[in-house]
Amino acid sequence: MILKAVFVGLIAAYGRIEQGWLGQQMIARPIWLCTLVGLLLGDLKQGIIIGGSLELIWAGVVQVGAVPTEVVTGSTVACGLAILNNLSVAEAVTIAIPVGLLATLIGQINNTISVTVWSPMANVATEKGDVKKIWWLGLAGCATQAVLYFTAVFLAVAAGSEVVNMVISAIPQVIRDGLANASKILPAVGIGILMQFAFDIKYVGFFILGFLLPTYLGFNSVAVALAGFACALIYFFLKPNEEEED
Amino acid sequence: MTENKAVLTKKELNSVFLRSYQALGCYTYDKQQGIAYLRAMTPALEKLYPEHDDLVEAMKRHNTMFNTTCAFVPFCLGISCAMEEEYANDKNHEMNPESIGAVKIALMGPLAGIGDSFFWGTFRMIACGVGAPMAAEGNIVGVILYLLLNLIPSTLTRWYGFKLGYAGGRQFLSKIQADGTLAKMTDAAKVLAMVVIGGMIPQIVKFPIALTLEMGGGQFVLADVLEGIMPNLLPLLLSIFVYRFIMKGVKPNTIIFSLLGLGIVLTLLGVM
Repeated sequence: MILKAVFVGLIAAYGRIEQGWLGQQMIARPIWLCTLVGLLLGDLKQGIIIGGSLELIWAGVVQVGAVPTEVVTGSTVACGLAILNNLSVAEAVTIAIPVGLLATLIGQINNTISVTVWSPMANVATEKGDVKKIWWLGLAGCATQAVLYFTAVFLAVAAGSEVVNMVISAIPQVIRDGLANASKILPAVGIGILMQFAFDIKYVGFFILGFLLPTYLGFNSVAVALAGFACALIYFFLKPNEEEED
Repeated sequence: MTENKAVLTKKELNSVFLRSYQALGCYTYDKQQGIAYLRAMTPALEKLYPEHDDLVEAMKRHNTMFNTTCAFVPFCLGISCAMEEEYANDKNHEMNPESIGAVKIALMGPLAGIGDSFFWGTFRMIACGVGAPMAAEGNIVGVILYLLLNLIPSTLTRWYGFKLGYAGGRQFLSKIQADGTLAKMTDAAKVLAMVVIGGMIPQIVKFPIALTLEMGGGQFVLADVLEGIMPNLLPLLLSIFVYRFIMKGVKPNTIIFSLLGLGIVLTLLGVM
């Protein structure tokens, strides 16, 4: 049990390292982290399913400006607890949401450390032309994050199992069915947030087209993306440059 | 003083490029990616300024606030390398070293605007639209597609961005900005995003309806009636409602909890 909690903690630490040291290539996300949790805990398939489901709900959570939810912690803790306690996908989602909200506190602790410790050290090193110190400092911030998130996730998974089992078994069946149904409509939140990002009434026709392709023609997601690419090409080549119009 | 020109070789440029990956390695409130930017520049600065005092001066220039989309950091680093190289060889001091910092600061805002909408808003979203529904059904291909659709654009942008930045990227950027190509590319990306988002609704939002009524000998199956009007009608309406609420400033977390409540209530009533 303790060893398994260590595994989940390590995946959370990897999530921070992906962003800090490996370039933040948008893969420290539920879909990939839960797959890894599933792999290490011996239930790859369940990990993939939980990861895909959480990704859909949190699709709109982006790390630009204020972060509303900490998806690395939320997804690793929920996926770990769900696999270790044989919970359903809906139950995993129910755990992930409050955990993701609470975990934003860890980020604030880390931000305090970085501005009070690392930043003044960098100034001293710069004055001395200490290139080696700068090299280490460039890794220290992320290492701090990795340790903080590892500890939090490890503790949550190690201590959380009993609590989770107790709470889940106390919930009546009809409520659990309700949560399962709710998890089917929750992805609408991710869609709503994404629409806020890209929606422009000028392009509403493309939105309708996208909706109709799977509804009436049975397009899968790859086919829809390819159709979207075709639309983007048509737009790009048929629209004259603004400057040329003048 | 020697006549030799200080030139950056492949070796220094490669280390600068590799260090661009740690752009968030020491993120601080006051300098954001600043310390990491300085760290990435040091291999080039050490080579260009063998004198200790010159090196300290150069390091001070880069120990400042900097922040942009991670995938565009190599592009900025490439420009900074080219400018530092120019300054190091400028024996008559015709170039103002402050321009090196000024260009960085001038670039980071617009690049963050384009970069966040491309990498957070478009590529990641398409990857999510393609990969997540497959993954939610337990298909590992969904996960692999998600990774590839993010990693390929990001890797290409980093590598070619760095090369382009070093080889006069400033001029290129202002050219495509001035002739409208950049704006058109951003709009085309939006078109793609709109099709993908519209197509995600029928695939990921499900609204199971269980309600059946006995009416004068016949059965009234609500799900069939809705299906007859238009398949996926409820998921579409729900998504539009959520979008409207978000635009009104309702917090996503509030909506998530409301939907959880709605699911339970509708199930208790036997509608779902």
